[in-house]
Amino acid sequence: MNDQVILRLILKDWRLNISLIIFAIIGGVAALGILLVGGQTPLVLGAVLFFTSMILCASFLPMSNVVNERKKQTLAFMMSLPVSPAQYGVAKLLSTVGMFVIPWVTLISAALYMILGRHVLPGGAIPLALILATVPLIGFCLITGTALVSESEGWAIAATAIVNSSYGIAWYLLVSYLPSLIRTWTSPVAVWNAAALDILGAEFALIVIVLALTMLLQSRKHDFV
Amino acid sequence: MSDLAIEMSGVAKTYPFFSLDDLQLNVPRGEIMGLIGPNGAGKSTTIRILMGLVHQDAGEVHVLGHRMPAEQIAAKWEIGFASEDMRLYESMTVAWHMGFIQSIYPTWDPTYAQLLLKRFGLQPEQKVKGLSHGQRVKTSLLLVFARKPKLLVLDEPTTGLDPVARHEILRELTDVMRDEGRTVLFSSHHTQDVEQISDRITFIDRGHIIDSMDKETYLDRWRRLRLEVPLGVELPALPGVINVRQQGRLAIATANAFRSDLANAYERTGARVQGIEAMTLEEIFVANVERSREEVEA
Amino acid sequence: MESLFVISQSDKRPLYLQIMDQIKRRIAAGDWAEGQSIPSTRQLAADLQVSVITVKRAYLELEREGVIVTHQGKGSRIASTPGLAGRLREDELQEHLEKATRIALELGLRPRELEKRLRDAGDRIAERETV
Repeated sequence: MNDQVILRLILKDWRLNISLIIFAIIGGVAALGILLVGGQTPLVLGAVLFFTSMILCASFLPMSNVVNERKKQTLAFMMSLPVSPAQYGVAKLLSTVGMFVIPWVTLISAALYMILGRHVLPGGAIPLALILATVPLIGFCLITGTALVSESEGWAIAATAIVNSSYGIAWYLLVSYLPSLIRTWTSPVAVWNAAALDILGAEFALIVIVLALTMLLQSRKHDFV
Repeated sequence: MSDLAIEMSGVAKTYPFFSLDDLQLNVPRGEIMGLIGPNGAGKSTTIRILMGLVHQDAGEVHVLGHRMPAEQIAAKWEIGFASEDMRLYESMTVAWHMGFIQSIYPTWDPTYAQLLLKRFGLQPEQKVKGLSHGQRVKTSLLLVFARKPKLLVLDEPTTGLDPVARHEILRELTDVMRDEGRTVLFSSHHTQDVEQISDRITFIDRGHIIDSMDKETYLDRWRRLRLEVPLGVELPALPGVINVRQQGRLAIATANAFRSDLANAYERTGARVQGIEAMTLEEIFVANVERSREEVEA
Repeated sequence: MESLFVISQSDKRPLYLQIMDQIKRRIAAGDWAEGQSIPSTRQLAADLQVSVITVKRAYLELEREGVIVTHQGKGSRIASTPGLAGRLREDELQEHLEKATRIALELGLRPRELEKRLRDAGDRIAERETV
């Protein structure tokens, strides 16, 4: 009976944030559309807007879904439901992550389509693009984890600010760590080497660790307030 | 099965500037318990503890037979809770909130819910952000009432409502009483409402329960005696009298444990009893709080 | 039923007395017949929007006065005493007379003066009815 409640909480969160998700998808896909124009400038513009959509979604979603519950005082309403603080915490984590994964996967798929189907970029761009696009996913998990565990708007904002300022450095470091991928950039087919796979693996491992840690800390919570 | 809907004993909770101390509160099934007390007295804290939202530092809490906060999930299936600081989702409609609650609780009664919409004058397709304060409160209460929970725990349900809205809420609250298996605990600043519909009254001040007993008995204990005091007569301190105010030859004695021989006791001292008056709950409230403040200063 | 019972906050008397009073009026006016069953305490409480305990007390006092009878598990009914309505009317008159007498005494009126006042009041009422 209680699983039903958790499901309803997750669905409720999705319903509340649907416009954010849709805007992120539209923004990202529209950005990709710019690449169809062809040429250097549209490429840069489109890529920047593509990543911006992702980053904005990664920044706004934790604020909207996690922080607002406490800020807008709807938490008492949630607390009155037949759910424990731990269950609420876990449901919130699942709904937030689930909600970001949808636009993220959609945008990745749209990008892959653009590359493989519409040839806006050579196939060799895929490994690097994937590695770079996973960075906002990591950033999102860090912001969300902080917002959930700290139960504080201040900490959530701090995490968002730090993460957002770090994207540039992270991308730069990744690109300079993978010169082999730059070399195979123009190949029509994606080339996966050990270094690239290691990095991708490390990225996803980091995501798993952050989420697992958050899950652990959320399930330990005894009090709603 | 216990016939107490709520059982709190020895409950304590400490905050930096406030503490709840050795709280004892029992609410039998089928009764309406009114909780009154000044702001900051501990009403909301007490309510949160019995809802399992805050973990008490000491003491036992049982609600509908469930130990709190350990068994709060089981308890909350049967409790309808609404508090003053609770907000609904601004961007969603009244109807959405109704659907949400309905999807969770199997006891939701759609017919009654529709009736309440009419009675409360609410538009289902209206978004919460467009509602007035009174309408929001009524919406929160509708969500509680339509589920027909065994226990209703309401923190200030009529505060900030216009007289018509208050009347509508009181009507639904007393309607709950038609079923003798259902219980209500509510806190309120409207002493009139508490006086009218409560079976029992509990008075909290500064983290302590000052009084807790059935309403009729409680009201019977409090009397105001108007006395005429001739020159040369000193009014003695009598048991059951908590306050005497005298100006010249007239005095008013406030008794919180009135017995019929109290008037005689005064007459024996030479004073003349001009009148014995019952007190409203509001007057009792003020007298209690004033006394409590004096005790602190003393 | 509920619309004709009025519990007033401005009436200074305790709620249970007001309820008792209104029940007696009903009986005195003939609306409620002797032997007729009356709502349970819970029903009346919900109808009047007052606490159950207040209605219980009213019923208890009424039973003590012999106005109603309560059977465990069967609910309450108005006492089947014949002439109950009339008796209650009598009680009401008695109460008013005593109140009037008390005030008269406080004003320092003598019994003869009070009698004259009573006759004058009767005349005034008769006058109004012929107009």
